[in-house]
Amino acid sequence: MAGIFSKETIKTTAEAVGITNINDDVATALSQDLEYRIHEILQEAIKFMRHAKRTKMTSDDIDHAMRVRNVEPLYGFNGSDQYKFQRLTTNYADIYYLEDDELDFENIMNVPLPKVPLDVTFTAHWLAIEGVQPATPQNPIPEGARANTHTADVRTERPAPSNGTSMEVDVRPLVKHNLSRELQTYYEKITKAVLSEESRLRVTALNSLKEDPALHQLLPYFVQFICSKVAEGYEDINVLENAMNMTDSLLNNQSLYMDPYLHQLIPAILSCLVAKSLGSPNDTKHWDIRDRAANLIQSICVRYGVQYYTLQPRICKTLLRAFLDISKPFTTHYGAIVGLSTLGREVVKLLILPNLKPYSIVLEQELVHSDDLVKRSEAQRCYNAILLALMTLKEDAVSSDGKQLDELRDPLEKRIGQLFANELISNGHIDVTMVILNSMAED
Amino acid sequence: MSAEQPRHLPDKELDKIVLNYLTQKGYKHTELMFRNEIRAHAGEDYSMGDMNAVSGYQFFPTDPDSNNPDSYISSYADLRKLIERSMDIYKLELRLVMFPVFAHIYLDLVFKGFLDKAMNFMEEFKSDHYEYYGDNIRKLSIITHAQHLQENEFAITLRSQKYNVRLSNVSTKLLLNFLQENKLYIILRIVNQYLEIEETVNHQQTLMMSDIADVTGVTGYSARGLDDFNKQKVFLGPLPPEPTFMEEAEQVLKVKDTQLNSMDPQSLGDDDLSTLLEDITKDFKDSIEAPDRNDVPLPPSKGSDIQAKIEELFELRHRIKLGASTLPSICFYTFHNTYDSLNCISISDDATLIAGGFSESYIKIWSLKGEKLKAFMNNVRPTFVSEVSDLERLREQHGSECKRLVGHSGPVFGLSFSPDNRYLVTCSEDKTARLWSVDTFTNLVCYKGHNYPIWDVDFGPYGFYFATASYDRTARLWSCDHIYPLRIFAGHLSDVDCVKFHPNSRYVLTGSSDRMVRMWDIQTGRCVRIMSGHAGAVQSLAVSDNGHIMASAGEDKKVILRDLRTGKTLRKLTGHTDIVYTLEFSRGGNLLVSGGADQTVRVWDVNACLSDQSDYNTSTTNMENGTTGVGQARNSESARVKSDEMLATFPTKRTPVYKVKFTRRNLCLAAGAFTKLSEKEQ
Repeated sequence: MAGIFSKETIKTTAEAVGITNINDDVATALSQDLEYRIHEILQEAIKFMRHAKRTKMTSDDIDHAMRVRNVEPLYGFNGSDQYKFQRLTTNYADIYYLEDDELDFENIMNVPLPKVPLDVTFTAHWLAIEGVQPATPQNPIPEGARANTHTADVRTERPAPSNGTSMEVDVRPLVKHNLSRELQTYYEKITKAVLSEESRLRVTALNSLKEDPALHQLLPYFVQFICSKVAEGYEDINVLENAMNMTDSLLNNQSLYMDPYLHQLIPAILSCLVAKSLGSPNDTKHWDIRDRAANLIQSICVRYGVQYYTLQPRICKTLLRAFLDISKPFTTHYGAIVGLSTLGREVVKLLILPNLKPYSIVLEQELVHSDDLVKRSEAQRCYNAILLALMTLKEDAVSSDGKQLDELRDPLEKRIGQLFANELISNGHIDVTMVILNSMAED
Repeated sequence: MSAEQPRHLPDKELDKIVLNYLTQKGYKHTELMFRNEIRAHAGEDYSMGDMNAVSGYQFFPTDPDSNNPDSYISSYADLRKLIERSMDIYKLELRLVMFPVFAHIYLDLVFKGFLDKAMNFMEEFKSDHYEYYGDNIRKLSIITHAQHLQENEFAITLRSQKYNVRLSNVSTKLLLNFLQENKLYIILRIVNQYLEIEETVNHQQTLMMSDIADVTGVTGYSARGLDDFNKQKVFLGPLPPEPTFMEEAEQVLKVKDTQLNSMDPQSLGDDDLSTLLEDITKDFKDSIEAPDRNDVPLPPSKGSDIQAKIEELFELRHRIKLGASTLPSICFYTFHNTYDSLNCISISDDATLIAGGFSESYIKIWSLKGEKLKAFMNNVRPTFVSEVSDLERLREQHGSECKRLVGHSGPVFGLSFSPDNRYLVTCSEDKTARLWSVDTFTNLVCYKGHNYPIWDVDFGPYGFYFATASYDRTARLWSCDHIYPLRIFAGHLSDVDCVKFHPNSRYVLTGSSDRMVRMWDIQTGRCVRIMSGHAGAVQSLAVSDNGHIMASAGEDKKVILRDLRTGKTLRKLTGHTDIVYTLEFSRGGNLLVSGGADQTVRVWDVNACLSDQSDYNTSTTNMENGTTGVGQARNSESARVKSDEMLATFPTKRTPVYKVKFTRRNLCLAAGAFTKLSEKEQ
């Protein structure tokens, strides 16, 4: 009979342990028994595999199976290594053996330690809501959709983990995403309408984006569209405006789950806020776009800031960096100032005030001494924006304790520089002054 | 077939010979049966005297066939042909005889040393049985030497225990007549020696598939015996509360009720709003079948128990009533970066903690509330603790995202939280079970007793007790305060793979690799129900809240619903395409949720299974017909016909489902470990 192991295998193995004259019958009997024993061990190993809820057997399973049968386990094998069988042809038969290289101790010592594997974490999602499986990225694409749609290759992103701390580094699978024909047509229509000249069409499209509850499937595509339009649209102010309008509509759509796409949208919005130049140089419309972008940033922070507590600090950091970099043009500074001031009084107090004094010198230089008219007007815009930001502090007003404005001039100048101190005092903003001085005292 | 005299013997003579043979060999049942049949046929009575006339006749003329391997094979082929040709209504039943005959022929051939013939035989006919007995065929085919017969667990069971088959009387007659007429003595011998045919007189002449499946196979009991066995009285009702506990609870609830009413006077008008007091008494109204409180000794109740009960009642009011039209919401917890090392998951009853057992011998606990876990520091001095706030101050200041429990020295295979969520019991390959405190995250007790790896552990529904299931073929009952087992439940013929407490804590259910489910009485330690029907190891068990319906599932991808009172199968649910790892009834028991290696969570309608029995009979019969045809090429897909009772399937993204659990408000929680594609598969 033909078992897995031939007589020859048994004989060569016997030779290896020093038994040379093994009888044919004995070898046959041994090979049968060997096969049986191996099956037995495998059967036990399957139990261990099943209880570990795996469908792939590991060498550990074999070890446990042997231990449970009171056999010394085989040491030195573990799942990660690749084993190669080598063939050796001798006079009698082919011998197969496991290659066991000699290893240099030095080499082993010098190998850098492997990377620490990622720790086990878990994420939660809705597999079903009242018996219906929601079409979120964590759930697979339903069978029905797969049947009669044609597919498009899209990189779908996994959503940011809800606690914001555990980073999802493991996979970003290339998933086939299916869109029905209707959705595709809708997508084409909307994107065309949003960019069209006709305002009626634009408004309809934007309203549809804002109201329609069934856009979730298309959301990644719209986000992609906005990002690409912003990236290529620095020249055309209208395209940018429309992109911002679209973002606004999507953000205001109550039925959309925007969380997973924020990290794509925010860079696009920030670009519109602090870009060096937007549109043609002589067009002043870009200031409006910046204001618009600032408002969007503010609404995002208000809506998602609690859930993703690192969101606002990260945005502030980016804007602050733009604000403090003197090498950047005033257009960028303007965007940063507007952006920061929309984020609330605390931000103004903490981030703008301490930097006002050095910045006022830069501004003053431009306002008073520069002959470049364009640049001067840009500086003026920044100046106005800062004033507006300072005016928001009014709401924190504290009593002036009967002090006169003039008495406060010295500390104020020390704090925010002469330029703004003059402005505040000449216009009699005692309340703002008090707030500024108080915030200094707190420091 | 060698030519022998019997060929020319008249019928009557032959009957006598057979009868004679039966008396000689002492097959009393068969003899009696045979006599009855003959009487029915000919209206004559054979007395012993008649028999003597032919007693000299050599029944098996030295059985020349038995040493000829080919005759074994041809006999089997003949039997196969007969069964194939018989009428459809008998075919199903007769097929049940085929596997044991097949197995014993194979073993005989191996035993007599005709190994090559045995292998050929196996190759030729194994496809007949692959569908139903796949793993048994595998177990058989590794036996290749006479000596293995004495060692192999499966061979020993087959040889030493009788194989139960339940046939209708017509089928039995058909079979025996055929065997005699064609002189298939080899098979006749096997049928006599190793089979226990239980004849049922059934007017419809055919049997329900469920009835047959319930008793087929090796159980250690005869088929009739099994039915009687499962008639033992069991108390499936809820455990009555302690009288003092009830009194106190009632007092507290009365106060609560008046408070509630005064707070919310509008609700007084609502008729359907019962008081909390009514709620609690309603629980124990249906107590005809309730066990005696003293049968399950529990420590005296504490004040906190009443508090917990009241909380439970409040939760009950928020419970969503689930059913076929209102499906549950399922929250899925996906574990990442496990590298295949996560073995089991457990979620605490209040859904605040989730624990995982790992191959690397440790256990990890996470909070599901998004809070950090804070353990007590080890300088707690009871004298300084007078209030809850004192105790809270003694917790760690910062805590951590997850706590790791180290103590086991082998893979952890099972975890279970205590009902009060303060303890966790775990079991491992290292043969021990361990009790951990969830307040301090330290090991409290190590329970040694099993001699082999422990596969599963379950905490009792009232705490205090837990049960373990082990490779050593026993399940054991422990109480937290004893380091030795209180009961050893022995009887399974193979590994006990899973264990589950009955909701009244009086019984323990176990599922085993021998394909049986057993129910044990913790008071007497005796087995009270034996239920067969699975075609593979039983990996998961669940019992409904009311304690009457049990579900089991496992390797054979089927979920079987059973009535615990009778031990009978209610329904076999098909649909899963891989091993089922976990089962759970919804609170209220209307739905059953299952999850498994096929990376789906499935929802089944329990009520539909309880209502129409007749429907089931026809549908399964059809299915069996379609899939287990002898000699037909089988389409494996057709075997996985979806049962109508399946309400929904929710696939996951490459995440086998390790655990499903319902919260008290009937939200379904499920958990599993995400499996990465290996480089090759990518």
